[in-house]
Amino acid sequence: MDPEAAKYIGAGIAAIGMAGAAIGVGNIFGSFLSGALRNPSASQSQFGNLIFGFAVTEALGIFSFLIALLLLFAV
Amino acid sequence: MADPNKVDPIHQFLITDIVRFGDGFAFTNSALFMVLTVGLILAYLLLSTTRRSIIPGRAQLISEMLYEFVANMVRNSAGTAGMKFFPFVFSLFMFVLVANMFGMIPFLFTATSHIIITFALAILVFAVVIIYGFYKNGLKFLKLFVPSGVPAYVLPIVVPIEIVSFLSRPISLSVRLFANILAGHITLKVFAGFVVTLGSLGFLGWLGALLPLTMTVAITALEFLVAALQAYVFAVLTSMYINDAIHPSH
Amino acid sequence: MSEMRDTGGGGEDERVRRQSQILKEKIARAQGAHSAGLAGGASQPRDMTGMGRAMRLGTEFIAAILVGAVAGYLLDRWLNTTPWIMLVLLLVGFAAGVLNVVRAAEQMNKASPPPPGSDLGPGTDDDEN
Repeated sequence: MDPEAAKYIGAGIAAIGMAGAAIGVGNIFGSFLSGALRNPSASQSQFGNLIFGFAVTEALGIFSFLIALLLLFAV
Repeated sequence: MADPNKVDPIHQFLITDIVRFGDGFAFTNSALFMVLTVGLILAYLLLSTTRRSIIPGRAQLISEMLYEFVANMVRNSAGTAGMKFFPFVFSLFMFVLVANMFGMIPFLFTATSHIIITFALAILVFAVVIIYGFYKNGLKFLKLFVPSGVPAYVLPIVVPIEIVSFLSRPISLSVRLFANILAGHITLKVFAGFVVTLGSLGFLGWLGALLPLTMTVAITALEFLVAALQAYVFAVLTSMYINDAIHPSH
Repeated sequence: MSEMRDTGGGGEDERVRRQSQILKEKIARAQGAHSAGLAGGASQPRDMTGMGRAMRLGTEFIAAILVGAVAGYLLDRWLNTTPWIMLVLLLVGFAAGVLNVVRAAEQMNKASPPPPGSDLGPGTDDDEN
C-alpha cells in the first residue's frame, strides 16, 4: 500500500475516537440535567464539577483529534 | 440540473458575476445585494424621519423603535461610555438584519450566508476593539489577558489561554451567523424539495406532500425568528466586546 | 377622558392646556420608569431558541480549538519545529474553548434565574410544610 494512503486511513481511524468523547459528553450533560431537574437548588453548586467532567471527557476526544491532525500534517 | 424534479439545495448560494471588469474583479450578485441592503436601510431611515413629527406615523415609529432598541442594548452592555459606538453597532445591526431579511424573500440572494462576509464584519469589530482599546488605555489594554486575583505562578499558563480565547472571538462571531443562516436556508430548500418530489408521484404523493409542506411553512416562520435573533446576537456580542475595550480589567 | 369632554365648550385654550398637562405627566412617568429600568443593572441578553444556544456554545468551543491548531501549524511551519508547537497550542486552545463555554454558560444562567417560588432545597426556609 502507498504509505501516503496509509497515513490518511490512519487519520480517519483516529478520528473515530472522537465518537467516544461525544457519547461521554452526552452522558455527562444528560445526567447533570436529570439530576438538576430533581434538585434545582443543588445544580448551581455542581456547575464546576459539570465543567470539570466535561473538560476531562472532551480532552480524551481531543487526543484522538490531535493524533489525526498529527498524521495529516506532521508525519 | 438536468432533472427538473431534482432539487439542488446548494444552488441558491452560487455567486454569479453581473458585470465583469477585467481579470478576477467583478460586480457579483452578492455585492448587488449588499448594495441593495445599504440602499434600503438608508432610504427607509431617511424617508421615514424626514417629517420628524412629534406624534410619529407608522414608518417613523418603526425607525424610532429600532433606534431605542439598539440604544438600550448598547447602554446596557457597554455603559454610557459605550454610546460613542452606537452608530457603529446600529449600522452593523441594521446591515445584518436587512441582509438576513432579504434572504427570506424567495429568489433573492442572502449575503450573510457566505462566511467571508460575516468574517469581514467580525474582523471589522475586532479591529475597532483592538485599536480603540490601545488608543484609550495604552498598554493597560493588555490587562484584558491577565485576570485579576490569579497567583503569579499560574500566569504563564493562564495568559496564553486568555489570548487564544480572545483570538477565537471573531471566528465564533462570524461562524455563528454564517452557520445559522446557511443551515436554515438549506433545511428550508430540502423540505421544499420533498414537496416537489412527492408531488410528482400522483394523488398519493399529493397527500404525502402535505407533511413536508407544513414543515416548510413552520421552518419559514422559524427562519424569520432566526434572522432577527442572529442580528440581535451579533450586535449584543459586538457591544460586549466594545465594553472590554473600554474597561479592560475583568 | 370624560372630564376633557366636559370642558368641550370652554374654549380651545383650556383644552390644549389640559392636554399638554396630561402629556407632561405621562412623559415624567415614562422617564421615571426608564431610568428605574436602567438603574436595575445591566440586563443580560435574554436570548434565544434552544438551537441558538447550542450553536453558540458549540461555536465558542470549536473556534478556540481551531485558532490554537491553525496558529500552531503556522508557527511550526515557520520555525521548522513540527509538530511541537501545534501540540501545545492545541491543548491551550482546548483550555480556551472550555473557558469560553464556561463564560457563555454563566451568562445564560444569569439571564434566566430559577423562577421565584421554585423549591430552593433544604438550605432555604420553605413555608410549604
